[in-house]
Amino acid sequence: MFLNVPTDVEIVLQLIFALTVIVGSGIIYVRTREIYALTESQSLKLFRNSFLLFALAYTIKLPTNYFILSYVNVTSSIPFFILSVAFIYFSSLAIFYLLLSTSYTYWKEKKLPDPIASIHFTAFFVVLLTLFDSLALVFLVEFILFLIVTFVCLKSLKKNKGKLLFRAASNMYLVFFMLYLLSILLTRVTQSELVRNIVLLASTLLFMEIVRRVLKALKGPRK
Amino acid sequence: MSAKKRDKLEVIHDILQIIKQNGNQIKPTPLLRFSNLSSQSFALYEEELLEKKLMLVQMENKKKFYKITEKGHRYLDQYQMIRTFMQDFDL
Repeated sequence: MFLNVPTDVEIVLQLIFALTVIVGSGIIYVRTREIYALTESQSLKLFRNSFLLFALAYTIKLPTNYFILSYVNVTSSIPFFILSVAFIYFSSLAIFYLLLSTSYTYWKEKKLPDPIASIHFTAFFVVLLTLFDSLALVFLVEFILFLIVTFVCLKSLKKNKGKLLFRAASNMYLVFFMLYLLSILLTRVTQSELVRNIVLLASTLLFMEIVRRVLKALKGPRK
Repeated sequence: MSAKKRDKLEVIHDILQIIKQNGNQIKPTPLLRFSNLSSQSFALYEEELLEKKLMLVQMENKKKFYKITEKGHRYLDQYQMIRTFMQDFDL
């Protein structure tokens, strides 16, 4: 796998992001336990599982920073390779689950085939692609994924007519997904540490905003 | 102008609210009537509510009654929060 080796600042930012995701996801998972017990909604189950997967993915990612910091020759290290592959699989799955949670009801109403298996297959496919060095191939697949996700979100936008950009959760997820794709691509294409750090910082802030909104919504309706 | 179609969360809330307003005990026929559902829809919701343990069936003098469970009461108490949450996150 071709990767730009991150600097210490970038690793610190990655650690902050990983810890934000792990702690934030844990809070969301625990705090939505009661609402799930009461509704047993499938879309809420996907929503909660996506945060569980996020926490898992970034817990797996934490040791990779250790490998980089200890100046091990990372590209030839087998544990680093396995952890990286597991991270890409679980984080892709987490994002797909999160996006699917917003359209699951529509999916069921239209009696479309259960998309869970396809989602696992797609995440596995993403992992396979990262094993190749072909940048064009990775770009192509991620662009197709982006189109699919945009389509899903546009469907949701229709439902959320009149809501401001970030009032609709699916818009927020779409931006988060774009940042995720950017972060994968940037490690391969740009030498600019600043750009990569801005993307990391934006991802951290956006994730914090998702956690804040979950906690706010759990307090009940706005007066 | 036609009334806005109730979503699943709202129908469940309405059914539980009807039982509560009747002193937590109601027979199937009035519950079906007050809930404004077709008998097919009502049968589906009845199955779901029993499966999720939000209400229970009790037999008294060979008559069937529906009652709200403790979980059902919690659903009613937290209904507004559940609604806000599900709407805010497009669930």
